[in-house]
Amino acid sequence: METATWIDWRDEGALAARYDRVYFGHETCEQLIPPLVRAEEICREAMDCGLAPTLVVPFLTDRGIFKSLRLVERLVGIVERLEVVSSDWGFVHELGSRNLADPVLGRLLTAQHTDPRMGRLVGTNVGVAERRAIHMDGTLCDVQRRAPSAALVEHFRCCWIDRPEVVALLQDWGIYRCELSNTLQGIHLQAIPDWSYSLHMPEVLVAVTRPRPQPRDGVVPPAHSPVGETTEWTCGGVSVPFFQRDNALYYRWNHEPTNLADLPINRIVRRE
Amino acid sequence: MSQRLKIAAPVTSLAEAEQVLSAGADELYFGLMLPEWVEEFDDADLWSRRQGKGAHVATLAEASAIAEVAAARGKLAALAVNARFTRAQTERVLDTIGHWEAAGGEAVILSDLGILPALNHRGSKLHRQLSLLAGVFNAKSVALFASLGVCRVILPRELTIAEMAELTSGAPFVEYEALALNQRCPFIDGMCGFHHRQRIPVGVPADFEYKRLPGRLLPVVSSCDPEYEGHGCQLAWRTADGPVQLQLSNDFHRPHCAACQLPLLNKAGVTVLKIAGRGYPAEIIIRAVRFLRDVIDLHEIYAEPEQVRQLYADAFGTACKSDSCYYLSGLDAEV
Repeated sequence: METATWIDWRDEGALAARYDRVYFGHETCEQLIPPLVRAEEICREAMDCGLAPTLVVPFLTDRGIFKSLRLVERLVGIVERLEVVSSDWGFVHELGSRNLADPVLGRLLTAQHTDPRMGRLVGTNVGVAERRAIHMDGTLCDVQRRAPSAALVEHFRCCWIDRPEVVALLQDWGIYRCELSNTLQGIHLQAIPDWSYSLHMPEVLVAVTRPRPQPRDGVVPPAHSPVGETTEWTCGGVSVPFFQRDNALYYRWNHEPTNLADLPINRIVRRE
Repeated sequence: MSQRLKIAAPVTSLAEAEQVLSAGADELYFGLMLPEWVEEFDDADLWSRRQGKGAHVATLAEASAIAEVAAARGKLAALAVNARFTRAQTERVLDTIGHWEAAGGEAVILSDLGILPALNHRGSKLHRQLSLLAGVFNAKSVALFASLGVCRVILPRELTIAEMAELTSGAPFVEYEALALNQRCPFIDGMCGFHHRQRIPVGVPADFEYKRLPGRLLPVVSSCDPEYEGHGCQLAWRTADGPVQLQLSNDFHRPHCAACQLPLLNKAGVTVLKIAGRGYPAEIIIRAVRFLRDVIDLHEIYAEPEQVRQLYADAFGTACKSDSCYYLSGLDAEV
C-alpha cells in the first residue's frame, strides 16, 4: 500500500519522509492554487526527501484552467514525473490528451454519498424511537423504519465511477486512478483491470461552496481568509461534527474499511 | 436582447404541464419515478437528485402524454435523469430512457458520463442536455461533453455572469441554459454529498404517503431513515461555542431571482432560463412562469431595474432584496 501525506502549501514545515508521496495544491478553490514559486519549492523538497509529488487542483473556470496549465507545464520541467489530481472534467481530459502529466480523477467528480447520516441509513441494527406523524389530511400515523434493500445499501457504498464502461472511457483519456473519501457507511468497489483508487483519511469531503458560507452574526470567520481555519458544525442527530475549511465542509472518519484488503485501493492519503 | 429567451419550467403531472404551458412556458422538464425503481432504490434523490414521488411523474404513460401536449404546442419536454448511477442502476436507467424516447420523448437531462456514450451507442436521437450537476465551469469541459453528444449545457449557479460569458465564447457550439428563479443552494449542486429525502416531521402536518395495515390501529408511514432531519443546507448548525444558526430561504415568498440580470445573461450567451423547484405546488410554478414572461417582455422594450423590482413585488407580494439575487456575489468584482 502506497502512503501519501497531504500538506497545506500555505504552511511552512519540513516534509515527512516516512511517506511515499506528497499531495499539495487545493481541492476546492481555484483562488487557493499555489503560486508557481511555492509549487516549485515543494516539488524540489519532495524530490530531496524521495517523495513523489501530486498536484491537486479543483474545478476551474476558464481563467483557472489557463493558470493551472501554466503551473503544470512549469512543474513537469522540474520533476521526473508529475501526477495531477483534478476535479475538473475539462482539465483532467486536457492533461490526459496532451500526455502532460499523470491525470487522476479528483474527489469532487466522484459524487460519493458523503452525508454522515448514511451510516444510520444503511445500518442493520438501528434503533428508532417510537414516534407519530400527522398527515396534512389530519390522519395520525405511526412512523416505521423500512430496512433499505440490498441494492440500495450497495449503491450508497460504491460510486458511479465503478462501472467498466465509465472506467474504459476514462482510460481512453489516459486516466487510471480515482480519489475517494473514506465514508463511514463503508466502501464497496469491484476490481477493474488497470484501475485503482486512493483513499483519503480521515477527512471526508461533504460539500463545497463558492464562495465560502457567509458569516452569520460574526460566528463564522469571514470568507477568503489566507489560511484554513476550522469551524466545528454540530448538527442535531448527526453523529459526527462537520468542520469547515476554506470553502468546503468535511467530517472526519478515521476507521479503515474492514474490507480494505479486498478493495482496489492501493494508496492511502492522510491529512494530518 | 439579442435572442429571445425561453423559459423552462418544472412539472409533476399532465394537468400541471397544460397549466404551465398556458402560463407561458416554452419548455417543460420533469422526473419519472417508476414504482419498481422506488421498490428497490427508495424515493430519495437517486433518480434525478430530487426526492419524493410527489416531485416526479409516476408512469411512462403520463410522461408520454406530457411530451404529446408539449409537442402539440411546438414545445420541448425533457426528462430529468440527472443523478449519477451505479452498476445496479445503469441498465434500468437506460431502459427507461429508451422507453421515454419510444413513447415520443424528445429530450433528456443528464449528468452521468457513462450514460452519454451508451445513448450514442444505442442510436438515441434524444436532445441531450447536460445537467448543472455535471459541474461544467469552463469551455474545455463543454467541448468534452459536446463530443459525447451534449447539445445544451445548464450552467452552474455559482458562475458569475462574466465567467459565463467567457465560457460560452470559448464554446459557442452548444446552447446554454441558466437558473433564473428559486432554490439557490449554498452548496455547489454537483459537489454536494448530502442526501436528499423526504422528511417526516413530528407535530407538524406534512405531505407523505401512508398505508393502513391489517392488525394496526393507526396507518403507517415508513422510511429508510425516519429520523432524517432535512437537507444538509437546511440543518440548524452551531459552532463550538456559538448560538444555533439556521439558513433560511423562502421560495414561496421571496425567491432567489435573476430577473434584473436577464439582458446580461442573454448577452453572456444564455438562451434558456430555468425555473427551479420541481415538486413545488403548481400555483407557485405558474406564478413563476408568468413573472418571468412579464420580465422578458418588459426587457424586450426597455426595463429600468426599478420596473423589474416592481414586477417582483407584484408577483411575490414582497420587495426583493440584494441577497435574493441569483448572480450577484462578491466574486463579480474579481472577474
